[in-house]
Amino acid sequence: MEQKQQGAKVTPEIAAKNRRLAIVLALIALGLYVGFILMQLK
Amino acid sequence: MSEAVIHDGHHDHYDHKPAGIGRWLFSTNHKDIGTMYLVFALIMFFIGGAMAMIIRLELFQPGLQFVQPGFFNSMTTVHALVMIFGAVMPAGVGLANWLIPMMIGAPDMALPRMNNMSFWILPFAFTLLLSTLFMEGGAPAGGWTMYPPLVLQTGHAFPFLIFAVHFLGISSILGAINIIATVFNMRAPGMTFMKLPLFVWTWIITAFLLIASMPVLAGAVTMLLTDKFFGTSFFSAAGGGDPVLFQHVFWFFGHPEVYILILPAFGIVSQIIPTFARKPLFGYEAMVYATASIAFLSFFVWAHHMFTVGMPLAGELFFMYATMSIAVPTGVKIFNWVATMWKGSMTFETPMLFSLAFVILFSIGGFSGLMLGITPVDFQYHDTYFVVAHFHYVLVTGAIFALTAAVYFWLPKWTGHMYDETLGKWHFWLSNISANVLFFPQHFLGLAGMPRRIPDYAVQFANWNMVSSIGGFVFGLSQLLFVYVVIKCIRGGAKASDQVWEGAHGLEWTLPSPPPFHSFTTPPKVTDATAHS
Repeated sequence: MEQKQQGAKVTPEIAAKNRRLAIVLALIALGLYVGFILMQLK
Repeated sequence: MSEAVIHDGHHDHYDHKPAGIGRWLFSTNHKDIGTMYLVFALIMFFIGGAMAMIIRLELFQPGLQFVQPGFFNSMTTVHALVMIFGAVMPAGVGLANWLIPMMIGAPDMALPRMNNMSFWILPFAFTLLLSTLFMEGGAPAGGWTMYPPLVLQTGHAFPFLIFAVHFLGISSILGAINIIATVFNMRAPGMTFMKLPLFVWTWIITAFLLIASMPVLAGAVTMLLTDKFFGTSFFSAAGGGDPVLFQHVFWFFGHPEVYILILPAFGIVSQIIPTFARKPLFGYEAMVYATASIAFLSFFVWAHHMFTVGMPLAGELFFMYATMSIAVPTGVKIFNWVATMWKGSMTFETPMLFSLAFVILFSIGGFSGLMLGITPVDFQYHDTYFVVAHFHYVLVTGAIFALTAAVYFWLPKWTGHMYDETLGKWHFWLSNISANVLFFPQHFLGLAGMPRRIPDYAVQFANWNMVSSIGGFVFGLSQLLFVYVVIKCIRGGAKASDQVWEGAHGLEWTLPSPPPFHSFTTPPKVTDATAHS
């Protein structure tokens, strides 16, 4: 039977943890970007 | 030594590879994406290298010989952008993709679809950037540092440059997020942080540097865009803004960027030297803390790029001493690499030769960096060829030599074949000698006062420029040999064992060569405290 490409096993809990961490880090990056520009506004 | 590995014994079952172009376009496999990053970096290396050849051709003799000054300036600008963002960074991310899951015992990267996206953004970004070469008004020519007001004189190419930088930043941040999530959440049982291979450690720290510094660059270039098209005056003195602000902001990104380029190289060399010295890495914990210290300090030294712009004496002193302080953790690393080799049973295969050259030549680049960090001395060296010599020692004989060492080191693992050692050594000696012929005379040119970023120069600089150009041409041609060695190895050769190198330790060497499409379908057990060695 043909396997899908993503054959590795990641539990739903780990996948959720990965997503949460990614969202937090992305928000930090976005916050730095927006905050930095806002800081320069006079 | 790490004790790998409980495979589930069904690798064939999981080793199905998708066929055709879809395998690459829609790939979520860390090895395929790593391969794409590495191939992309190699292509960019040759595009950026071709630009370097044009620069050295024009500088072979004084006078304007082959290209117009405007085009020459475009070459220096785009060469830098292509080499930094297109060659060195993607090569580092490619290695991270290939190696980190295998080193920590993970099945893949934490966010495979995002991994695909962060790679495929790159070709789009570089299509934007390189298309400017064919535009009316030419490609950006104000330097990779994009200082206003000069950069605002760029023609149609300007928005393409800005959006290319934005896309590159997004790609880097997504890649960094993925690496952090992978190492934090996907480690095999027993693989504690202080058992991680040094290469993984250097990449965690690099990933945090990327997340902290890339948004600052993105913010700065967004403000350039609004200054140009939307009537703001962030950097325009006429409108109440400050052009020097851009320089501060750029280098607040730019100096950590230097460490983004070099820290993964430190990690590579920290894997290779213990293997060929057949000894554990000396001072593992000190290496981790030194890497973290370098990254932390990199945020407090940016204005050493701007001493000649003018700043209060206290500022000059602060940035000078802060710069000097980075030499301490860097010295720790150099000491530990040398101590690792001390009384080791050393052999000198190609990866080790490139790593040894890295230690010596990166140290030369570091020392010239210390010279540039001394404020009154920098007033003499600033904007001369001494600076060009300095950063090429750091980035070519430093970062690129380490990346080359990494390819030779892990190529048998990736392909299942040994590369041609004789040709590899030829590549090393040709590259090593020609890189020094290329860059070392640039110290003399700079000390004698030759400015950087000029297509013509006074006749007093003619001899060393000619020597430097000859070195450049030989270095460029030598890299074709590298491509031949890699292709030959992919197509066949002596079968590589699983461990490949006698002194190699770590989880990736417990997998077959080449590894199965999915590495660890069940997590390996890491039982020994010295997994990293």
